[in-house]
Amino acid sequence: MKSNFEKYLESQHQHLDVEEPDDNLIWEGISNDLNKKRNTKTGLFWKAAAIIIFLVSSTYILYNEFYLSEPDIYHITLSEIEPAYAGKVANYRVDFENKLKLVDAMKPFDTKSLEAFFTELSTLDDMYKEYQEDYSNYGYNEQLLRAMLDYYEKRVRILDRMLMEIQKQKDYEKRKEEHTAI
Amino acid sequence: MKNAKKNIQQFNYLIFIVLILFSTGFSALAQAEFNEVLTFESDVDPQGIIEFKNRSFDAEIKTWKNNTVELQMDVKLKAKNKEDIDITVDAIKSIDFEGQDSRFSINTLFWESISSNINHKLKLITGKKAVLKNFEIRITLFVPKTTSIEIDNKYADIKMEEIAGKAEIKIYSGKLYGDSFGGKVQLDLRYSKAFLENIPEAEIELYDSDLKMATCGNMELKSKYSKIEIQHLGDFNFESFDDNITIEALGKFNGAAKYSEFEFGSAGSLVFDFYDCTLNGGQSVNLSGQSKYSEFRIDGAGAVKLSGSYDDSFVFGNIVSLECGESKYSDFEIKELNESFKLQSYDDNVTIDKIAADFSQVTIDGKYGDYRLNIPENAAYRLLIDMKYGKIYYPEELFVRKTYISENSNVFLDATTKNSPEDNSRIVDIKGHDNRIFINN
Repeated sequence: MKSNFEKYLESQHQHLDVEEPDDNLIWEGISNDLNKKRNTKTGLFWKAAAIIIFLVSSTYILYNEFYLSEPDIYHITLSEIEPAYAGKVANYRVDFENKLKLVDAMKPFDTKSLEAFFTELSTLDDMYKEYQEDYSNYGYNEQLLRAMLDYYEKRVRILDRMLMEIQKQKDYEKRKEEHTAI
Repeated sequence: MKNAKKNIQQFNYLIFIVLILFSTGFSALAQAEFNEVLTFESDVDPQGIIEFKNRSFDAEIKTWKNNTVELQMDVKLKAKNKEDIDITVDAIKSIDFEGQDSRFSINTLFWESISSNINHKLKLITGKKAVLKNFEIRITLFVPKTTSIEIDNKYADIKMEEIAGKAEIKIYSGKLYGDSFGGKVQLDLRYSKAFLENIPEAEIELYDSDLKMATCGNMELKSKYSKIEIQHLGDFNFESFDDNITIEALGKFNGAAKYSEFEFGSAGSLVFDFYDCTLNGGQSVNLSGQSKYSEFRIDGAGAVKLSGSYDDSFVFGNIVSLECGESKYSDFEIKELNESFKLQSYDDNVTIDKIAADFSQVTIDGKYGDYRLNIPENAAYRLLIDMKYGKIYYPEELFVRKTYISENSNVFLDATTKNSPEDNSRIVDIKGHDNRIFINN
């Protein structure tokens, strides 16, 4: 049974639905709502990213601080230990490579006489390993770094000596030829 | 209404962040410190040996009359937590400090490994780990004066007082300020410097190091890339590579060297095997050896005997005699020769400014040589030349020719000075090929 109020609404129906719906207005509302939802998603993304960054960085710090296994001591270089020396090391390395090429280009006659220099270079390599061990055992030390830098300097010095020796061989051959010509 | 709620929420966030930052900041500032001298003491055999192993801590070794050894470690530690300090101090307290029979061992190292970044992370000898912000340790060791000592030291300086016993000292990348030693000293230096007073006998190994010493008895040296300065030295046996050695006065000198420089005042006999070396010496008794690419400048010597010379330069003051088995491309300059000169020569230059009138002989067998001899006009001698393609300049007016043959490019000359007796054994005998001989010219 319809109430009196319902009956009244039915009778007045035509008067109530006088205004047509505004489609544009409705779509604008929907669009705003959609945008609102999108903004919420973006906020969530940043929160998630911040949490991930926080977790990753804190895990890294904790891992580094407490659980990091011993690094491979023989791969530690002077430039890694003290970046201030990196430039000098790089220069010595370039110098060494260039001189090594020069030794090769000069084609020494008597390679046996140069063996002592290769032994010397190998001794230097062994000494450098010892410094790497010492760095792991005794830590950062200016004197140790100087010894490590000297490794690079000595390698160049040994190649200089080697080049001088090759030059002596060449001089000897030249003199021999000169006297043979006489 | 909504906006107010939002603002309150934002304010809460801000307070939360500020609190986190503050707590982090305060925890970083929180610091524990330790600043004390730890002392270890024990009885020792005063005639025994004390082994002292030290890494990275500067140390002073003092001697006393007590029959005890005392180690004082002045320890300064800084850490974030007191726990790190405590476990580090525990480790320091458990360093090796013990003796057996006449040997007493001290090892000041209290960690097994260390890695240093902002903090020092140490794996201690107790097996525990500690993180220190900073640490500094200075060591003073008291030992009986009569003891002998064995030091193994890296990356630290050591200052030590005079001891009566022997010493075996290894210093890598450090400095040793030593006094005098009563017994033999074995010294092994690498990238180090040592300053010592008096040593009765020494066995020394150096690598890129500096050694300064006042007085030393006999010395055995093995050295590379080093600099050595000694005021008074006994007999000196060496193996040297690219060194710089200065000795004011020394006994016998015997060794092999490559690329080294020697400088000394007076010396006993010199025995050498040199390659590309320089030797500047004062008055020496005798010289013998062989050399290549080397330079010698010696004020005076007795007999000089070279088994071989290649591309060397010899400058002598006054010498008694010189004999060289085989020489190539070398220069000999002698200010004054007293007795004899014998040379097997190839492309050498010889200049003798003055040959004593009573010399015994000058004998040269050479090729492509240039020989300049100055013999006093009053000297009575025989001149014997046998040469091909050569040239000879001599004061003919002083000589009586016995034989002179000049055929093709060959010259044979046998002459004596006018004042020469018949049976004169004093002779200048030069033979060879393509030489130039200048006598008093």
